[in-house]
Amino acid sequence: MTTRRTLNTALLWAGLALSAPALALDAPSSRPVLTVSGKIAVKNAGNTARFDMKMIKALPQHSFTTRTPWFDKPVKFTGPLLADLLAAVKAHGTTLSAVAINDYRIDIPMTDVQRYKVIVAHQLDDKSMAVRDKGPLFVVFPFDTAAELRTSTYYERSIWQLKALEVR
Amino acid sequence: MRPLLDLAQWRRWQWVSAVAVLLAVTLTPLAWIQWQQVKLLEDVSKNQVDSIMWQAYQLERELGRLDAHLLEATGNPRPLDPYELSERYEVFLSRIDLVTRIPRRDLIDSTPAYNEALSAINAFVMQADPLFAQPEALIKDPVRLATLASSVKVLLPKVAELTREANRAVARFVDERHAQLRQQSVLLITLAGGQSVVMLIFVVVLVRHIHRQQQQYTQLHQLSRELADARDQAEAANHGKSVFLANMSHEIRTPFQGLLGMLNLLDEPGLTPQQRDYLQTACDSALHLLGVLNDILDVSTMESGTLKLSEAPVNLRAVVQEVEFLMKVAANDKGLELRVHAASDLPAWVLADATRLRQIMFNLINNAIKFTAQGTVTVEMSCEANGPTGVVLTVRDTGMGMDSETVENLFTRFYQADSSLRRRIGGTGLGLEISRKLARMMGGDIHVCSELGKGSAFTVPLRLQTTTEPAKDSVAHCALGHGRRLKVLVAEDHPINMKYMRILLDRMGHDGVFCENGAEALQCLAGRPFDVVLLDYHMPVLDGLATTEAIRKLNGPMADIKVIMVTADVVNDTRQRALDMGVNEFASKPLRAIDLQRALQRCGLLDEPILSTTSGHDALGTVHAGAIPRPEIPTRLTAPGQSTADAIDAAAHADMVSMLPRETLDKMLTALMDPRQSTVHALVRALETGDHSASCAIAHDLKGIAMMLGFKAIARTAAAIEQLVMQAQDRVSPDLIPQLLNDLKLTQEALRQIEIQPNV
Repeated sequence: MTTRRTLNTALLWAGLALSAPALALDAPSSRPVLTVSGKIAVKNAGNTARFDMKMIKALPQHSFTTRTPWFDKPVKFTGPLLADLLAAVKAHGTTLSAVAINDYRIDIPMTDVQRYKVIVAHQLDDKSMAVRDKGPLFVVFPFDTAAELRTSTYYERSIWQLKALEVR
Repeated sequence: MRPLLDLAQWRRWQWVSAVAVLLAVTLTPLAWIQWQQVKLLEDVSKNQVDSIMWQAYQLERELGRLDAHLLEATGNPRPLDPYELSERYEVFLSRIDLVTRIPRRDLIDSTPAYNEALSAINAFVMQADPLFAQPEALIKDPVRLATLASSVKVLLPKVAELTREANRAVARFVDERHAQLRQQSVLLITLAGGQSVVMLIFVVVLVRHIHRQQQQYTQLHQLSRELADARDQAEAANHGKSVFLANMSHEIRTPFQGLLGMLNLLDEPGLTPQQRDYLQTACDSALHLLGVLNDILDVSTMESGTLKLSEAPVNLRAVVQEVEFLMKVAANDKGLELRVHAASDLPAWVLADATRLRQIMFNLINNAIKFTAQGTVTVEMSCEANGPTGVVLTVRDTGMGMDSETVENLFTRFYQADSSLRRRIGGTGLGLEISRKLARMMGGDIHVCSELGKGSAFTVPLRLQTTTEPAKDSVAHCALGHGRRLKVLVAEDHPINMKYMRILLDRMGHDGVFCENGAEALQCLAGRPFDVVLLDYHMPVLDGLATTEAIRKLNGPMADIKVIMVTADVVNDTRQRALDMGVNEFASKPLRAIDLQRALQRCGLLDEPILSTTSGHDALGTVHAGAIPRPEIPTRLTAPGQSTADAIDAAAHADMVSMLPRETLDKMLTALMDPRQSTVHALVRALETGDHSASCAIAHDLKGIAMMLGFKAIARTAAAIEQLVMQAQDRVSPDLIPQLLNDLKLTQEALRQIEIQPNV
């Protein structure tokens, strides 16, 4: 097991729980689909943390059905909470800068992540999403749960073909 | 013209519906437009129309990037990440759906550019999909890469054209939306205009309504002013009429008494039966006329509002007895039984106007007797402690009774039960009206209950306040003849009154100078000085008021002379006017010695009187001028005197004795008491023969003389006889004769006692 241990301040901080494996993040075993960089404490590829689809699916999974501007009918999204994903890399910034495969870029305040049940969906109606189907990863807000979410601000933050997150 | 909308006639529901309709008309289009705009906004936010252009552009851009990667892959032998190339293709593919599935794709999907681009893209995808399925193989096959690149080159202008088409579509859509907005604005303006017009109409209607109301108010105001004026005029006219009636009846009554007196004088034994009959008829008519005059005087006094009740402690039981005593005769004469009953629980003394109370009783009992042919008249005075009033008088008869119509009109002026009865029974028809007014003034009323053929019952509840027996008050009795000897100027047009005044002043020890009117009085005043002037209120040439005015305007000391107005005028404001004119004092007619004495004292012309007291509260001070009693009401009558003390008012008698020479007094006593020729015996004879006009005249004379001499008992009985004769207008009961003789005997005894004990 070629675990790379990053013994930084986060280790001391998390040491109270004596859970050394929590600090560990396995290196992706297949082609990575998401790169997290910036203010994170857990890394597995240089200064960044990389996730392959297996690692994404290993996180606790959530799903909800909601209406969106991009589909005619309500659709079901499944994937880990963005908050869980960020916790896995011990992100401690105030803003997330999300980048899509087509270089679309949008800033998501950290407060959104805390306030709403935002998920990083990898399944649409229980099927994996290809890039041509806005996959492989799609940040989705639970639009149907709050009226303020059904505005362009949050539609913009709902980025698809997500490939990277930078924590600032 | 009837107004289009008469708002004054509107009811509440009409107003509510008008407001509701107005609100609906105003608000519904507004709400509709608002809803349309909300829908428009929702549509914009939901459909993100401008994203069409964005998506088309993104599609074009991704195709451009794929093109660049393909070029790079073909032209550059450096190994490239096959997945990166495949990813670019995939991204391009993801963009296709975004364009074709966009909600408002209808804006472009019918255009040739769209169809052309789409079919070209589909063809490209058909070609490229198998190639990109194996990216590693593709990247190593320059031929396939070149084919793909050339396909992309063909595709690029078509996709670019799609972008431009999308741009144009959005522009069209914006135009369309602007048109919609403009249309809605126009609609809004039109609506606002319409509402303004409706509002304007409403305001105009409202203003007109207010204007009309103001006009109506003005008219009403004008009308009420006119009505008030008319009422004032009518009231003034009515008041004038009442005053005129009061004055006229008074003026008629005075000479009328003279006429009656003269008629009585005609009644001599030597008349033939026919002459006696004529005389009787004349007397009856005259007495009837007098009764009418008195009624009219009462009514007019009531109407002018000047009738006042003078309340004093009254012994109810005594009043009932008096009335019984007086009416029994009339009832008996008609063969009727008069039952009078005073309840045992009646309050002994009440506050009331005895004269007016008697008047009511006389009227009701008289009526009962008049309209009853046979049977009984029952009079009851009972106590109604729990009722609204204290005392209830009931007069019940077994007479002809009345139907309901008659009862209804009973209190109407001049109405009489049966016009055919009028001639038979007589009367003014004012009696009941007067009685009812009096009863109402006493806090009561008169109720009638009657059945035709079975009789009638009149119930009079009266609010009479219970009081205690008055203390035997000491009435000042003037010792006439004391004090200064005054020079008195008397203006009196009536010869009988003048004669009386002369005697009165003589008795009082003053010098009287007499003249017949105000003008003569002024001449006399100019001639020599006087201490006081007595003026009659009603005089020819110059009446009392005008004379007073003239006197006050005289030059010299006579302008300040004391003026005493002698008046029987019942109108209240007469006194105020007289005082304003400068009159010092009043003495009421018929003038009594004691009244004149008091008036002179109040003027400061006499010292305070030397008082002697008489027992009893009804000192005999009334000395009538001429023959003017108040004929409607019998004089006070008490139970027949039994003792000598009641027979003579000793003090009054003493006054007379001191004033008159002995031989004059003796002559008068002889004239009064001598068995052969005296007045008393003349009255007895007249009563015995049933000559009632003679009885009346003699009784009146007797009353006057007896009063003057202080013979109370005789005066009392004589007054009763006089009144009974007048009231009954018929034969007087012979019961009175023994009483008169008894009174005479008592008086003579009393005189003898006084002779023995001169100082009482």
